[in-house]
Amino acid sequence: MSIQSLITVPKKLVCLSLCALSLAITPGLLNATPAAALSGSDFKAGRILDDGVFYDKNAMNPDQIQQFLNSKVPNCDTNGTKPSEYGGGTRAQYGSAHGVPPPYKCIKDYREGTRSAAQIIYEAGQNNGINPQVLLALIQREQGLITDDWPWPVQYDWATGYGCPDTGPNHSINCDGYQGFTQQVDKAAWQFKLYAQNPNDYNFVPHRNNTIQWSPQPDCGSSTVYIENQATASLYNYAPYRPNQASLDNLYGTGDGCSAYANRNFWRWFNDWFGSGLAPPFNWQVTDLFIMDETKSQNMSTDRLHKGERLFVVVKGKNTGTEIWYRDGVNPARLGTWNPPDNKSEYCDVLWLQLDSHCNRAGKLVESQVNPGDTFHFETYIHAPNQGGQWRGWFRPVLEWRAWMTNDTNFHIYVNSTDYFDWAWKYFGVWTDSSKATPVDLNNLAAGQNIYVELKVKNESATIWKKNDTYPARLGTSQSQDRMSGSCLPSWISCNRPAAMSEDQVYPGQDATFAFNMKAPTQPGEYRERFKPVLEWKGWMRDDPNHIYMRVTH
Amino acid sequence: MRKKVLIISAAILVLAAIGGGVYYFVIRDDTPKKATVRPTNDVDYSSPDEEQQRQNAQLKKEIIEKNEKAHNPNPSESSNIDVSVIRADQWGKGQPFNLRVVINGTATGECLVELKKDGQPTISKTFPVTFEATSSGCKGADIPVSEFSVAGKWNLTLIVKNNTAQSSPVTRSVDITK
Repeated sequence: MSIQSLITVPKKLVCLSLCALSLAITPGLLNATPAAALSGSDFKAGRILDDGVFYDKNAMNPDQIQQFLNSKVPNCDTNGTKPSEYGGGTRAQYGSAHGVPPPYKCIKDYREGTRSAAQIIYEAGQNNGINPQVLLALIQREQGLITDDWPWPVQYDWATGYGCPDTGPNHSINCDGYQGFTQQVDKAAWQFKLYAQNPNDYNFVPHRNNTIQWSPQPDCGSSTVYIENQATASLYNYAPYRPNQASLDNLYGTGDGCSAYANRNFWRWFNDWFGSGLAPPFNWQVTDLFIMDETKSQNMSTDRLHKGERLFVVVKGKNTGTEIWYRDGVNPARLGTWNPPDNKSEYCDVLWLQLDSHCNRAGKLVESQVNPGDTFHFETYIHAPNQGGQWRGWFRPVLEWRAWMTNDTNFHIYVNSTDYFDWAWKYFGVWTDSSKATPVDLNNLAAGQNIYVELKVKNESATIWKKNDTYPARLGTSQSQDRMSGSCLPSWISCNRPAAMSEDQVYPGQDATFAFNMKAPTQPGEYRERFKPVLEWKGWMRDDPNHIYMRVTH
Repeated sequence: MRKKVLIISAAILVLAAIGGGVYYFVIRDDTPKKATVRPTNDVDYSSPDEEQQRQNAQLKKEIIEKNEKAHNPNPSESSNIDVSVIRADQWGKGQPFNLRVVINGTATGECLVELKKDGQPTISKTFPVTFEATSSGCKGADIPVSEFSVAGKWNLTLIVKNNTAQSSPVTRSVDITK
C-alpha cells in the first residue's frame, strides 16, 4: 500500500462522514416548503368578511392606497411596447387592432378631474363607511385594474361591474348606465351602504338561512347558507352566487361548469392583499369622543381646566370584533383603565364603578347589547386631577372577567389641570348710579367720584357658577390677587370683593354679571382697577389683561 | 496519524447518525402544513412575482373577452329567462310579505306574482324588473299583509317576462302570519 493509498482511505472516510453530517443537518432545508398560500378550505360561505373589517373605512388612508397601487404595478407599459401575451405583435399593435391604441394609463397614475384613483377610492369609502380594501378587491375582481400594467379605458368605465347584470346570451353580462371610474366606485360603495341600511329590501339577509345559487346557470341548483353577518350578505347581494367546491379546490384557477368566481375571487384577492377578512373577537374602534361640562350644556376643551373640575364624557365607537357585548350579565362590557390595565385613574369620579377599591372602571355600556358592527357608547364623568399639570388617561373596553379588547387604538383623554378656572372678560359699563340713566366718562372723573359699574364675563369653565353656594361666585381683586382696593366702598362684601354674582347660577358658556359701586381715586392721575371672578374657597379664575381705566382730572 | 484520522472520521459518522436521528424523531414536524391566513389589515405591498404576472395576463385576457361581449353597442338579451326565488316570507309577524328573486336573462320586463288560497280572493301583483349592481330582481316586491284575507299557507306563482321571452312559472307554498 502506497503512502498515497494510505492517505486515500481516510480521505474517503472523512468525505463520507462529512456528507453524512451535511445530510443529517440539512433535511430541514431539503424539505422546506414555500410560504403557505391561501387555501380554498379557509373559505366560509356564511362568513366571507366580518362587519368589523368590511365597514372599517379608516383601514387605509389615501397615501397608503397610492402606495399599494404603486406596488402592484411597478412599471406601467404606457406605450404598449412589451410583446402582447395574446399574439399580434406588441401590446400597442394588439390593442390598436382591437380599437384601443396606446397610451395606456395604469391605475396608480389614473385621475378623474383633480382626484387620483387612490383619492376616489378613499373618499367613496369614507362617504359610505366602507373599507377601501373592499373596493380595491372589488375593482380587481371585476376588471383586474389593480395589477394591470396596460389597462384599457373600458376597464375603468366598468371598474366595479356596477350595472352589469348577467342578462346576455348564455348568461353573459350586459352593462348599462353608471359608466366611469368615479361613478362606478361611488355607486358600489353606496350600494354596500344601502344593503346595510335596509337589509330587508335585498335578497340576502344576515343571521338566518339563505338560499344561494351556485351559478347563473339554473341547472346548477342552489344551497342553503346561514349568513353570519351583514358584510357577507352584502357581498352576495352584489354578486348572488356561491363558490362551489371545484372552484375552491383550484383556488387560483378554474373550477367546473357550475363555478361562479365573483365571491371566490373577491375573497382571494382580499386575503392575499390585506390579510384575513375575519375580525379578531375582541376588537373596537373609537369614532367620537365628546367632552362636556358636568351639566352637559356645552362641549369643553380639556387643555385648560381647573384642577378638580368635573367633566361629562361620552366615548362613541364600533364593536369591530365578532363578540356580542352586553351591558349586564356575567361578562358586562365596561370602560376600563389601560396602560397599564386596571391602573387607578387620576380622573376617578364618585360615579365610577368599583370606586371604593380601584378607580379602574369609568363606566358601563349605555346600550343593553352591542352586536358586531354596531355602535356603542360609554358615558362617564371624569375629574381634572387635583395635582396640576398635563395628564393622559388611557381607556379600553373590557368584557368583565372575560377579555380586554385586543387592538390598540391608543385611545386616551388628555387633560391640562391648572390652578385657575377659565373665563372671559366681555364688556363693562359705567354710570353715575344703578338707574343707569347717566353714563360716566372714565377719562374725566372727579376725585373721589362715586360710580356704578356693571361687568359682564363669560363662564368658560366646566363648572356652574352659583350665587348662593358653598363656593359662591364673586368678583375679586386681581393683580395682585386678593389685594385691598382703594376703590372700596361700604357696599362691597369686603375691600377685596366688590360684588357677588347677580345671577343665581351661570352655566358653562353663559354670561355672568357683577354690578357694584366704586370710588374714583382722590388724586388726579391715571389709574387701572383690575378684577376677576373667584369661586370662593374653591378657586380663582385666571388673570385677564382687561381692566377698568380711570383718569381723575379734577 | 492515520489512526487519529480514522477516529475523527468515525466520530463524525456517529455524530451525523445521532443528529439525523434527533432531527427525524424529535425536530421534524410531521403535522400537515395548514395554509396560513395573515392577520387582519396586514397589507401586502410587494410587487407581483412572475407567476402572479402570468395570472394577471390570463385575467386580462378574460376581461378583454368579457368586456367585448358586455359592451356591444347593441347588446342582445338572452332568449331564456330564469328565476330563482331567494326568499318569499315576512320579516316578522304582521310585516309585509317580501318576494326576493334573482333573475337571469333580462334586466327589463315585469314580474307577475299570484298568491292563491282555496276559498280566498286571489292576490295578483305586477312589479317591474330592475337591476342594481350585477343582477336583476323584482323591484319593491312587497305585499302588505292586510291584502291577505287570512293567515296560513298560500300558493305563490311567479312569472318573469319581457318583450321577447318569458320564464317558466315558479311555484312555492308560503306561510303568512298576521
